[in-house]
Amino acid sequence: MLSIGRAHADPIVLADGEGLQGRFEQSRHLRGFDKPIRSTGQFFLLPKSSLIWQTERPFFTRMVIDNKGISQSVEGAEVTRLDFDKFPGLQVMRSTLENSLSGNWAPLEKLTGSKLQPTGDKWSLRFTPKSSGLTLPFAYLSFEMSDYLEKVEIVKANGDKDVITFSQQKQAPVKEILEAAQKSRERQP
Amino acid sequence: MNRIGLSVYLVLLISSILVIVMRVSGGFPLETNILALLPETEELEWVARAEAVEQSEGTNRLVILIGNPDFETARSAAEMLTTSLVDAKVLERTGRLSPSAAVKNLSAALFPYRTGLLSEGDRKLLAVDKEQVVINRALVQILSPLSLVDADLIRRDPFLLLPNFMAARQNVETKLQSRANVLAVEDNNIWYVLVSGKLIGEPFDQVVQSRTLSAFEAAEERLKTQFKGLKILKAGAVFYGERAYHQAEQEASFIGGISLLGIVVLNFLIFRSFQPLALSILAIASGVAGGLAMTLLFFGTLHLLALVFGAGLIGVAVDYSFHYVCERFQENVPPPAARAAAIRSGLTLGLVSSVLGFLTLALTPFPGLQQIALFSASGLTLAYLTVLYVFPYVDRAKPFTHGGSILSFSMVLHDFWWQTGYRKLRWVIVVLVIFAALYGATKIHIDDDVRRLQSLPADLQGEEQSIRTLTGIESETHRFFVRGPSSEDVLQTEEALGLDLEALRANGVIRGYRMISQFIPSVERQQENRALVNKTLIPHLAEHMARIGLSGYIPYQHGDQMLTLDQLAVTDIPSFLAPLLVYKTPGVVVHAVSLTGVKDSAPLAALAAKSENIELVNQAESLSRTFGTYRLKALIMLAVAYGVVWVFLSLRYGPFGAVKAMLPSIGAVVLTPPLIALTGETFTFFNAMSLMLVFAIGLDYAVFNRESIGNRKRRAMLANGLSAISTLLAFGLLAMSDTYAIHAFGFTILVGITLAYCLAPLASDLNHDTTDPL
Repeated sequence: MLSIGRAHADPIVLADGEGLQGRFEQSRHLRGFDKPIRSTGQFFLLPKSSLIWQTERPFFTRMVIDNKGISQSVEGAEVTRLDFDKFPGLQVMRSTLENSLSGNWAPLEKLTGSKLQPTGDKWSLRFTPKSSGLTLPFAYLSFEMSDYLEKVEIVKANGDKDVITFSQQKQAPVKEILEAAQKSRERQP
Repeated sequence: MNRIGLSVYLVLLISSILVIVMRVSGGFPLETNILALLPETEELEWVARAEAVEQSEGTNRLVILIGNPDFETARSAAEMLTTSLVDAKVLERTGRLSPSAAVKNLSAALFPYRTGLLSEGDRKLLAVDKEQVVINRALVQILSPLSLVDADLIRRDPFLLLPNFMAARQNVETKLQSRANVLAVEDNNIWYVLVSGKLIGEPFDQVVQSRTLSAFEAAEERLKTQFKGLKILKAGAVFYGERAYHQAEQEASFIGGISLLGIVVLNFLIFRSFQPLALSILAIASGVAGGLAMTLLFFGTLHLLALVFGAGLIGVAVDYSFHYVCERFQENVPPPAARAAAIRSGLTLGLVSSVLGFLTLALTPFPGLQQIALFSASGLTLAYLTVLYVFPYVDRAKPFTHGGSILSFSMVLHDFWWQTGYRKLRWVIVVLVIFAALYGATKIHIDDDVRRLQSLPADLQGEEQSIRTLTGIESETHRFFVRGPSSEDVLQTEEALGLDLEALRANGVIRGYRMISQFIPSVERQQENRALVNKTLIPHLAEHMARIGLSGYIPYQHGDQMLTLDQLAVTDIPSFLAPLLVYKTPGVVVHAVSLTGVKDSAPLAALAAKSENIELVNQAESLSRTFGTYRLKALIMLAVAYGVVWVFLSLRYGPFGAVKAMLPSIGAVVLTPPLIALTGETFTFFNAMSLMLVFAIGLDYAVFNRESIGNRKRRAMLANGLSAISTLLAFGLLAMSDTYAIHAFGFTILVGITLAYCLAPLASDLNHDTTDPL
């Protein structure tokens, strides 16, 4: 009998003690702007601890999302800090990003109330916060993944859209990922 | 004379009943809030007014958390509870906007003025030409994958001045989060949904209390049947008030039952007839009616404690009645009118002394004392009229043929003081009591802490604490009031204060503060900010816009208009700020500054001392201080009352004789506090108030002793003894109460009246019998 549904390989799930690093390209489509604002850089995921988002172009900035909140710095100096205590909605965003990057889809399926859907040789999942009873600053998120998460679209109610694509993902023990993050930090101008 | 007396009595009694019926027809206006006993306050008028506004805001709030593991269940139950309470006219829905929606509203109102709105940090950066940090921050925020800013905002505010201004002002005040249109918090896998609103009516009004509680309990029962495993936590002054009322009511019926039984048995044992008891009840009832009517007439409401203290005059009324009835213990009993005439002197002197004393107390600007004084003075007058002018008409009893042994026994105490055979024993006991009192004096511990005096029920306090822990809403201990002739002046004062508070926050003296000017700066501050923005940021605008790909629309094109507090609509002020706008009248504007996590109030007091427009307020401390002040005032007024009574009694007994007549009362008042201290009890405002009754009743016993000669001495001693036992049964038993104030009252009466009775024979003057009737 043919099994329908999960016809191809499931996304990779990070094992305990493993982290993930890779590159990202983000294009922010703002309604009424001449062109999308593009940025590229590297990310380092240390599950249950932090996600380091290092933008290298158009200029060097580093964002660290840890259990307490989000800290952004330019030239090594912190310029903003958002605590989850003050903005509890961001915590949902944080766990959504961490779970999707580490292939931990079960909690997201529970949160979104829908299952991973096969699309061609990939998987996809759509998350509409309003229908999940949550108040979050976007209309929906859609994820596309094969082995790893490949693309996230964050669409706001007013039509603004962020498209983030991931590449060169590499899983490794957390220690190695941390070392790589530190090295790349030292490379900043 | 007797007819006139009776007519006056009847007119007064009927008027009293009419006043009571009229006042009570809409529900008995009984006040249970201890704070209502306190004076209007001695503080500055504007501070007092600000406190009054805040207190009514605070005590009218009702906070309920509905908990369930399933969020939807908790949410539906909370919605149902809200509807039930609103339908039962208990709760008024307030602040339907969630805090985040309210902040959004405020942001929209502030947006046009954004170049005048800078956070402290940004002001500092721009002032030292570090505008690049502000520009970079905007870029970082625009690029962030978790960005909260949208295209429209970036286009109109590319430096993100307003979002950063608002973000710097969001303090962690609550753990509650917005979820599906309600505020909720998750703890240990249980979702708690908040039901909150304003109570309709006064929380210390008994009608409101019982309506609230019955509506709440009915809704609670319905919810618990409909939804399994609901956890309901509640907090609000109305619940405390209701509990206090019921506790007082239950104790009153229990203790009252025991004392009534005791009094009935005592009367029957001594008089072997129920008629004396009926006469006593008539005197007491007339007294209470008179006291109640006068208090309701002048104050509109009656405080529970004034009722309890005022009803203490029963101790005096019953004394009057016993003196009349004991006149029957003689061989050739004169007719009723003659018996009344025989005790008139003592009664009149006792009444005038007590009334003078109470009127002196009424001179204090203290509603609690005034109510008690008025209740007692008017009640005693009516009891006096009852005994002298009504008893002779209704008294149809035959003379007593028993009582010889009782009369002899009642003289034991008198003999103890006056017979030479007891000389040694007398000295031993006096010395022992004096030593005990001296030792007790070293143990007197004065306690004015209002939190202990209120004696809140532990279960309700536990619920309130759980709510605080779950929601993170702290009980605020300190705050500032800031005053000025206009909103602009107040905002400028706040901004100056803010600099000092920021330093205290950095040093950990306080954890945080919130003031209106953090959100709506003064016009002066906005002008400075705008000048900084124009000088440092605007020159980089074109470059910044090009970098983010923005063209066409030129942002920050504004006129010279500045934001003023007065132009903001009420709906623009979020609920967490609204309580800080305390009041505003032409020429006087008062704001509050809330403080959290105060570690040390001394530096805060020092800040307040710098300006006459800033006052530091700590409700618990200031109330405790007020209780302390009035404990002292009550004692001083008691001394003044003795002075007034001394002048009056000197007219009859001469200066020295008057002192002697007052000695038993003074002795009881002076000895009671140290003797109470021996048992480990603290001395509070309530003990001081109770000493006034000891004062009045003590004077009464002494004056009767002084006025009775020959065989009448025995009858006077018997009447005093019966009166003392009745008073102890009626009020001394209140020492068993769990309500602290009533317990303190009962215990003071217990010790004080016993002392007053024991010392009363000292007032006798065997060498100078007073024979002339008044």
